[in-house]
Amino acid sequence: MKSYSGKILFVNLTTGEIKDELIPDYVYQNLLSGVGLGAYVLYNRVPAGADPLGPENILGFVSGLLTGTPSFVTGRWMVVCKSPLTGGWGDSNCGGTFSPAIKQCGYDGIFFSGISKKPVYLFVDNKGAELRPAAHIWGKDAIESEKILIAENTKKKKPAVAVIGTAAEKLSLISGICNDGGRIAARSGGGAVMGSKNLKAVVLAGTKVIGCEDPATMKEISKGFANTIRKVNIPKAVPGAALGLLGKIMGSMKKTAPMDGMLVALLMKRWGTVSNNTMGVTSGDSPLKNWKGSVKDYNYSYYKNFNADRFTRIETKKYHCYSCLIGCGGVVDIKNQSNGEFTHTHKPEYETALAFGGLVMNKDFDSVLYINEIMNRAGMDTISAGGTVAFAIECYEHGIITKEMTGGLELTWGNAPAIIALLKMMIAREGIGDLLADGTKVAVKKLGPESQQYAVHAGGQEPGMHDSRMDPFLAVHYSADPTPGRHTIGSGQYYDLLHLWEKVSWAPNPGFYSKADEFIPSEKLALKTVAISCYKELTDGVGGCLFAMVTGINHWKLFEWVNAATGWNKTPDELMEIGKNIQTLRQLFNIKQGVDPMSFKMSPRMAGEPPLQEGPNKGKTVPIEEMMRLHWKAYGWDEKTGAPTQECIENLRQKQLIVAEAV
Amino acid sequence: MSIKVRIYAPGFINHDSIDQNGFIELDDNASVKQLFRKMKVSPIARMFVLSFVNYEPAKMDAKLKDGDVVSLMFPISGG
Repeated sequence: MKSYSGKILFVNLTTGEIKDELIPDYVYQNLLSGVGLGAYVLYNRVPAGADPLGPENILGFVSGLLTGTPSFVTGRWMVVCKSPLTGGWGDSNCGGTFSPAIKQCGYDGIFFSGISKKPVYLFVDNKGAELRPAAHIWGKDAIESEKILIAENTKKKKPAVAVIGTAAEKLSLISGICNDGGRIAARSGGGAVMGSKNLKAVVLAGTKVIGCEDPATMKEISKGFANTIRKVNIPKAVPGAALGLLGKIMGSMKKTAPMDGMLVALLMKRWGTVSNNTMGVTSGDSPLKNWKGSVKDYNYSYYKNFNADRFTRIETKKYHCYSCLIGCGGVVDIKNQSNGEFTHTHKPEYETALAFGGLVMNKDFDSVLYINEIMNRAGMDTISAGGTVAFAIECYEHGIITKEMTGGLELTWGNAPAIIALLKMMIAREGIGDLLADGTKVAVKKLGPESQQYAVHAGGQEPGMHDSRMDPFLAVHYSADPTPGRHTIGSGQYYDLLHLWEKVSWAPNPGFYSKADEFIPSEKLALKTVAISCYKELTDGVGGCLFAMVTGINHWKLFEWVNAATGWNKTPDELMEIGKNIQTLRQLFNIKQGVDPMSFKMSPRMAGEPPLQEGPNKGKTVPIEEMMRLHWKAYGWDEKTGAPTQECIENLRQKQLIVAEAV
Repeated sequence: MSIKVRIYAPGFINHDSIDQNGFIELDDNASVKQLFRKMKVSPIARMFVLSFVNYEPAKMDAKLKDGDVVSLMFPISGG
């Protein structure tokens, strides 16, 4: 018994038709499941030029090849669609409980086309699937809607729910899809696609068994991972305040070397991603003041307020996604921070804390907790929203946005009450909020070309809170990946943690090297960026978590797990080829949709043009265009255009991944 | 007799004594302290790193054996 069902559910919301479709085994053999399965379905079925918010776009919810097997940290689900934010391939990734629920209903993915006349939700259990009216929850926030749907649909089993909030109902292009009371597949504007289809939620209550080929071997591999994860703990005596100092040391390092990824678990177990709040600022990893500032501006008097210990002090319980041993999440008490409006919120991620902290020069801890909850409820991406607010503040500073336009808000750096008020306007699409609710690229079109210089994005998507001037690998992935602006595709640090070269024949061993080398485009560097992005696609194909991935291939054993789950017996090189297939199909999707890959090149500020004058990234410039070209070339794509070559296309055609009439 | 241990160290620590595959050779029965000496880790730098042997916190006098994994803590970005 393999770990996939070979079946998807396809729902046409225009006609109401719901049908099962079989997926051939060769699709899994060449693309895994998860994002790979999504790429196969969407590439072959979304017509060229389809309106992302129209009936021809397809929205998919896909589970991972390893989800539900005796593996660990493989419970993530993904949303796939044509992104209304970038016009190209869109995917987004989320933890929680929804991924195994897809497979427990007997499917590897659930796909939607068309547009429903009225708001509906899809309910699936062992008996089948049906569309149900959702008018009673349309207009309610994601957390409230989820509670209602769970109450309505709980019989023997509490169902898993993926649901949109009000931001997606109002078609904000920076809205996502939520699960488990505050987890969100936030990127690529998947929420707006769901909203455009009048699809409020997907409710899954299946209880089917998820199998795998060799459970004994899988358990044996998992035991090794679990034993090490349980053992590794940071001594309690180490305070969160030490992280800022550690970041300072890291920021000043001239050389680096392969690292032990398992130590990532140390920080994640103790604090979660907020461990990077102060460390990122002092090391130069955190972009500050809309990418034009440094730790000299956002100094200790600011960043000390976001010490990771402040979050753990108000943490009432730890939160683990499905099959996770690390448990980087948490639930924090925010009664005091919200004047009683809310009782608790999911512990903010670093991305949120920085997007509404350093990026907008805010030092108010309480405001970030409050913002976290209103964004989770609205279902709006905090990365893109933070980037858009920072852009708006800079426009206000230069008179492009006026006090009259903001309805009297003093939109200045660090003005927390004004930032909260602006976000509420964005969520409701009121006043200036309507102009900003679709991200910076759309806002520039409305505000005029003079605002362009303050817009920080790649291909329309605001970047993650990790500075590409500190880690040029990020620059490559922000710009050259089929989904631009994503910090999770790869970084130099990830490469040094993964140790791919120990199992993959073509992945270079970095050795002990100068960090300055990362700024020099080369074929060796391109092989590294290709290797990380291929491996990340494999991770997204199996439903894996980034934080498990970066513990390294000798701990979180994706290659071995995949073979045990499927009985394939593929070599690491052969499995990495699958990563290339997925990347190529995602890129071909963009080409088919008329996207010029070079148009995804990130904003000049992100490449250090002009260079910063202060801080750890002072004077650094990334030769991004040359790096993009070498990255594409290393994939076997055309280095000038970024388009996969005829040879690449033929390769996928021979594997039957491209249906002739779809090209 | 000598032993070989796998060492993971951040870039501010001297890597001259570590081979291309990340191993370092030490005298039999060497301690973490002797490992640090061989790597020329300054007393100041020692204050900023946490040492783990086979993923458990280790003190300076902890003895090492052939095949041990020694990891020194470093920061990681993400989220």
